[in-house]
Amino acid sequence: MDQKPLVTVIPKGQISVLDIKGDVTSFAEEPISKAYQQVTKNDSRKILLKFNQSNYINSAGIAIIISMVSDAQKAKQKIGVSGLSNHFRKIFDMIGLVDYVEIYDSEEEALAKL
Amino acid sequence: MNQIELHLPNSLGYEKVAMESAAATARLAGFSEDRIEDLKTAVGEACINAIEHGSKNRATERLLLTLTVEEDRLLVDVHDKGERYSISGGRPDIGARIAGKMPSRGWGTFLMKSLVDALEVTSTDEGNTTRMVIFLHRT
Repeated sequence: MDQKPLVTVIPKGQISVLDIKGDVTSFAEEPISKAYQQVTKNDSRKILLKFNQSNYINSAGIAIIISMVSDAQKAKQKIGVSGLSNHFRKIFDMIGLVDYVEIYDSEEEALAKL
Repeated sequence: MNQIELHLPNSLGYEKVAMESAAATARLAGFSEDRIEDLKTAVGEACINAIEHGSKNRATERLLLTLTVEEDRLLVDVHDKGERYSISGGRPDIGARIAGKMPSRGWGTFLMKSLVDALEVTSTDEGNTTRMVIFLHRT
């Protein structure tokens, strides 16, 4: 079974949206890393991770996001997050990721404020 | 007392079957949806530990998930027949991980401890059992 999520890069003005469709687990490492490398190569300074179509994140998926945020900090890129379910938001709060990314209620809000 | 046993392939991805079974059982027992989400995440992490650290991804082995419904709580046991392993202690340092000073992984035990009411891992020569207890109403 193919467990890789589909990660689509959608440029929206100065912001690169990474639309994640599927589970954020260890299988997400390759598609998320590829998408991040693509937008970094294109010199994107603002990246929005959109989770509307993702229902499951586990510890390995959290590690992938942390690793990306770490790389983004070094590259002086700003990371925003939208479309979190209440449970995803709780997990992000719990691990402290909310201190390192901007959380938005919707993509529209993120595009206006990131 | 109602008890459910489920034998699962020792392969990443099948933790989702365990999660959905635990969720359905908790729903029948009257748990709220937010507690069910907590339980699903914790059960998923326990299965991943068993698959990766206990049975080392060996396709020949199986995981045993046991769900025991009691009056005010649900007991979840995840058992593997693999090598002994222990779980780590406190809260991982996200700052050190963001700074690249340590590997970004290592959140599973913290999530389990944070999301259920009690967590215990027992390891013997016969394998490992992760027991999680979640109360109907969090105390």
